[in-house]
Amino acid sequence: MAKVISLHSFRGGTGKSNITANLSIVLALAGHRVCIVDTDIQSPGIHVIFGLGEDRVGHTLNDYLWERCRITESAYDVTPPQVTEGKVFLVPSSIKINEISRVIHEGYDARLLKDGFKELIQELSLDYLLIDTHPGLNEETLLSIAISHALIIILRPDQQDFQGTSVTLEVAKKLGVPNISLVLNKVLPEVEPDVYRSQLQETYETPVGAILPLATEIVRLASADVFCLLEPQHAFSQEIKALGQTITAME
Amino acid sequence: MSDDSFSWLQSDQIYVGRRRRGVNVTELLDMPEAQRELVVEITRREPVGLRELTEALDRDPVELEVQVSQMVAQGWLDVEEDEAGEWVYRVRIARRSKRVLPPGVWQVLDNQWQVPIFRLFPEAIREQFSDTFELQRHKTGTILFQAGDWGERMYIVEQGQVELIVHNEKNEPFVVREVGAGGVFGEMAVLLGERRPYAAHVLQEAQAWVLDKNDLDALLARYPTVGLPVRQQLARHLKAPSKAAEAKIQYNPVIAVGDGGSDLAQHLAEQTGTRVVLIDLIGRKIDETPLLDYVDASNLRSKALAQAIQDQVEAGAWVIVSAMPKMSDQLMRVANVAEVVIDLTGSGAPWLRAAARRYWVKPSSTPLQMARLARRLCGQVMGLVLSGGIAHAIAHLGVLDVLHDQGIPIDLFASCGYGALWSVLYAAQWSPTQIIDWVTREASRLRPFGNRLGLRAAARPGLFDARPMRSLIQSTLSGMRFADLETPCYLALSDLDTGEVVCLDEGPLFNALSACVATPGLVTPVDHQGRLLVDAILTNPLPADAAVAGGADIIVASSVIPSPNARQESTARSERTHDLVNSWLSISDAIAHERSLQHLNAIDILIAPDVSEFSGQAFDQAERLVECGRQAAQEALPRIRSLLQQEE
Repeated sequence: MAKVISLHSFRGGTGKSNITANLSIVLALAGHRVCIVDTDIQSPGIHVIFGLGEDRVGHTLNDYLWERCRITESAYDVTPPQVTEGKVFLVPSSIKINEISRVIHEGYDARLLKDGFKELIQELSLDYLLIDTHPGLNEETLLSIAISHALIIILRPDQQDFQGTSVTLEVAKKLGVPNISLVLNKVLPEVEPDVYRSQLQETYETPVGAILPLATEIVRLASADVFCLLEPQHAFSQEIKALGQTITAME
Repeated sequence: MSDDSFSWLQSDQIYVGRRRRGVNVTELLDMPEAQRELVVEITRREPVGLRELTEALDRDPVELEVQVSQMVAQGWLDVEEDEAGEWVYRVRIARRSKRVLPPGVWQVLDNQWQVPIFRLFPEAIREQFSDTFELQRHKTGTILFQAGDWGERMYIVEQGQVELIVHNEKNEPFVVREVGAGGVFGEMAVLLGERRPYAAHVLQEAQAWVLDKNDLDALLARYPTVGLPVRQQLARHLKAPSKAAEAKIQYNPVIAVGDGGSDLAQHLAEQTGTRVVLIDLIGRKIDETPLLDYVDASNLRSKALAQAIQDQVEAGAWVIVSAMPKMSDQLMRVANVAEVVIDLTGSGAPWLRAAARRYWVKPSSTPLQMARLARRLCGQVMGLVLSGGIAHAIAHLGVLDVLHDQGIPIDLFASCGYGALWSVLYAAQWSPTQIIDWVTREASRLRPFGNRLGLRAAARPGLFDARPMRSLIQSTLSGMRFADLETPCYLALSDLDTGEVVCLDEGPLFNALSACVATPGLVTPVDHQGRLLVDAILTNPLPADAAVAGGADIIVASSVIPSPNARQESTARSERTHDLVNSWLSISDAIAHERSLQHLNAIDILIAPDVSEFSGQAFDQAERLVECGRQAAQEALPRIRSLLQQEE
């Protein structure tokens, strides 16, 4: 059965979209069919990482939510040439100002989101559906978490993130998500990753999926591409690969 | 079309009961754990059957089934049959909150119901109200409801087209109306809980805002200060031909269904002094007069008929189409085009009402009622406002005498205090002379401040015994109701507890009139549907607003409330005794005078008999008071005449 995985962080700027993009590539390289849905309607961004420009984008998630198209019509094949067996699709959110403000202002039928996920899984024969959420707790994130088989909470070594993560975890446990894991991102090189790992696991009583380094190369790339395709041997990429493996090992 | 209102029991549909909006995702966090677990599990696995759920959750299957059924009834779960014929469930998630209705919808609703209901609601409630509307999409060919179904929801079309269809006894279909963007249908059912008089078919893929009756009920029940008067006003408005506060509206063209179209045409010609064309679909020729033309249209096809009507209207004539109350394409088409359809048969036809822009039922075809109807069509409805007052109000009778004598038509009354009593008697077809005689005869019982209730009075909300007065009213009116009156009367009263102005225009007259003569604080109030009502002398003593709301185009008011200046100059001041009642009356006059100014803008002509030299208790001075009224009315006559002539 296809797995729905939500990637979430309590606060913004944790590197969620980049991690989602990289994770999707790693899963696809392992031969899986993956689709990402950018549910961050207020501040969409992951399409940039995949180089999916405005010129290529016709329908978006917004169009689907306004019932102007089927959700599959807003799914784009962004599989890079390096991936031979798997597939990566992306359902982007609109970057047009009037469309963003309209959705925020008018809202939309949340049922559609739920139904849309199911339709994508079916129509695209997906193995994994990755949901890139808006930071913080709101109705969309609650909904995504509620229907997910796995939740990856991303945080930085920052007091604000630590506190926010507790809140998110509480919600996730209440909603009974079967697999919850933490990913610590932007870790400074001077600290031993394992120190963090054990600390986090103890504090949150939750497995740690990956400890990701803060690397200047990644900062320099500035979301222009998927990092693990360019530098597959980098520590960052290796950690993402390990994360992918725990995902695929999941029941 | 089953008459059995429990037919749903026999149907195959699942009864969903009172609809809720579905589960709000945020509610998930507050639910009891077992419930939440269930909802989340269904969400993850949907569509899912009971068996799979029982296994996954490891619960007692019977308990689980009960819980699931409850959730279906609550509207949290949708249920359907899968290919194997098993019931499978999905979670219904509530729409994201803070949905804002397009502003046009408010407009449409206000226009449709011709009552600015939604402006009565405070902003916060309006926002919440927006939430109760659901945007639905329906494919071409969908049947939204059948004729005979109980009406559960109303529709405001945003896009597309919906056809409203009725079938006659031969089962031939007639299109009552086509509803496009901005149109409303199904609202009667929501307001009055009626069965559908027509079926609704989606002609072209439609998007509509849907309001469920239960939601509207809940909202109105939650805000009773708005809810109750709104519903009362709506029901009144929709059932009886009252008019919204539109100034000087004229209705042309008009369809008169049933006998009497030609009478109406004649009255209209007399009233307006301009050309009236009677377009006859029945085939009953009438004699033409200089102002009344006759056109035999019984053989005209609907398109040509509509064109003929339009041509005449554009040429500046009044058009009355006379038709029989039979379902036909012709009638439907013309009904869509007319400004108002008047049902002279008195029986009322829901399909006709649905086809018309406005629909009035006018069963009585007496010359008086026909003339009145004609005045209504050309915007010359005459309203007479009689101010509050006790003995002073006797002067109104002089005014009434003069107007009656001069043949000035009075189409409705809006009155307060003792003025209300005279208006009701006149509306019950007493002549002014008869009323004056009665007042003179019964003066002793009409005096409210005769019998003190003594020491026990302190515990009562009134100092004086109202019983003699009330038994007089009872014996005089003997069970009459507002509906028995020849002329509509609107009686202004005050709620003793809230100070709110209440306007009564229906039900038994005894209660209403007893309240009109219940001077606040001095006479025991009247319990009316749980509210304590008294004379509106301190809140709305000159109720011209009620006359406007009742549909009057021309408003003449008679006010006997003495102005403070006049009081000062009055010679009788030194003779007045300053006992409790007179002191009270002095104060109340001052307040009443100020309050009487609030609706002056609505009044076209104000007649103000000078009663300052009389005491408010001077029932023994009836003759002189009447003479005062006569004089004032005589002085105002030229102005009244010129106003009426202007209108023609």
